[in-house]
Amino acid sequence: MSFFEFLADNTPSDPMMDHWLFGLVKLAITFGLLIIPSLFFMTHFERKLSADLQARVGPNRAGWAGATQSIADLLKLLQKDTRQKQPRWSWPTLQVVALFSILSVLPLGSSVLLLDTGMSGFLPFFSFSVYVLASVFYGLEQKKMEGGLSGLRVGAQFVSGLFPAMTALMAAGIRAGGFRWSDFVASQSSHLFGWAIFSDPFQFLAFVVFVASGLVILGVPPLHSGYSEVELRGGVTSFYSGSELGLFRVSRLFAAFYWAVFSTTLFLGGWSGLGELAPPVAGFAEVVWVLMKSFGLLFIILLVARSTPRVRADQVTDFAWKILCPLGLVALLGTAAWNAGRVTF
Amino acid sequence: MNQQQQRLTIFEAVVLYFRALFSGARSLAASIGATFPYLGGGRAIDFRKEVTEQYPDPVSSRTADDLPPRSRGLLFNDIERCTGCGDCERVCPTGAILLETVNLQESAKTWVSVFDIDFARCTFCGLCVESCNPASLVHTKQFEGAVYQKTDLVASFGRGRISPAHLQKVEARG
Repeated sequence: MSFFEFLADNTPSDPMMDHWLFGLVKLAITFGLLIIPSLFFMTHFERKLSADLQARVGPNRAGWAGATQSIADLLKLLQKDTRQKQPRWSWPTLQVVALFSILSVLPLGSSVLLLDTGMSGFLPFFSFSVYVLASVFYGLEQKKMEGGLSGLRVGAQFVSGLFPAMTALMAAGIRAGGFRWSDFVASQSSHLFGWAIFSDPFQFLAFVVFVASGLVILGVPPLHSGYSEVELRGGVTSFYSGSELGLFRVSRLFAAFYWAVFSTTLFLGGWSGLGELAPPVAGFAEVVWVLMKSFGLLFIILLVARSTPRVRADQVTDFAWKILCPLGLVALLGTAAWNAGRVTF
Repeated sequence: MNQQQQRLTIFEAVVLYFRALFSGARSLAASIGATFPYLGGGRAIDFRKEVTEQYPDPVSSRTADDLPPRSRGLLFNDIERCTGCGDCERVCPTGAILLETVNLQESAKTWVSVFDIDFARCTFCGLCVESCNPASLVHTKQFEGAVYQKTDLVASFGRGRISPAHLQKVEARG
């Protein structure tokens, strides 16, 4: 029996198989047609805008205005030799698996969303903790000063950023009355002042805390001193080379992009606000709308990252514990008070 | 510093906390205000345009001839003018120049058999060119020195090792 006969026999009769196949197709479409092109887009614009802000030219050789430079870089990194003794299961692999697991709950649009559970809002945190722990253990495993120090810094940053991020998420959940992505989106109406961040001041505070603590957790510039590529001779990445290094860099981009998508869904209205459209067009428009808002957020982060020097490692954790934590608690309590009469669980 | 060491009341501590918070936010806004005009090339105002130059090649319609007159490209030694004095070898801080000479018996000249410059070691400081008395060693405007093999980075300008019989012939010719 060929695979297609198998499909033909099983698809119509078996609803469970139908469900699985549908999920797989959605996953392939999401990954191949949305995530990967988005990453190349992100890389290119990150480079060009950084170059602009630093009065440089930026990539200008490969393709029109260096548009295919990131593809060329990736191909080159994949060709390079890796270190001699390569274990089959390495920490970068675990990082990639952790980030892939987020794909199942990534709220890009109602048509490509695979899972919508009551815990959806919390699921990324588990994946991100695996992702960060893989960095920490990789750094400690090297048994060298650079890797160990950098690994400890990454771990400290993660621990300090987790609490404010959770409080901000709670604040958003209280306003939405649940932690499903569809709850978050449904609670925010179409017009601009229906978005959570403009609906009350505490939600705005929660948004700021959520984005800033995401930078702390994932080590996104300007709060990336944990990964400290420069002064610790590569930090946790000092033993990486070739395709492993490529994988690591891509995974950090992935993580930043995911965080922007979550912030968009929690506070910037998600995929809501497009009115009545025909189903296939609506599905596409939703994804484009979410991606546009996410890239806008990433642009603001980039603007901050290129305008400020890198923050020292102890100052990052200081910032998270002493400023983000109290503000996150204020946002949580304020949102609870603001929405006291409105929400019924 | 003194202010932080003395004990603060809770009210003062809270005021200091918020003052620090606002000064941080204000400096962040100020720094973004400084960088924002550069966005999109910022070519409208002259002193804010990009200060790095395009890579000098036909793609950006600039050639090596457009480089500044004192730019220090790959080194070239005119062996006809070279006296083999060895000043460049002595002054080179990285030991990139290797010189081997044979003194001619009859005249005061030397036979420069080996004159190798290892561009893997060269820092293009230009000390050798400054110290070169006959001005045979010069910087060219060539700047693309990438090669596939590390050994290709060694540029040889010497006349080659010479046998005693050949040396006599050279001396006879004068």
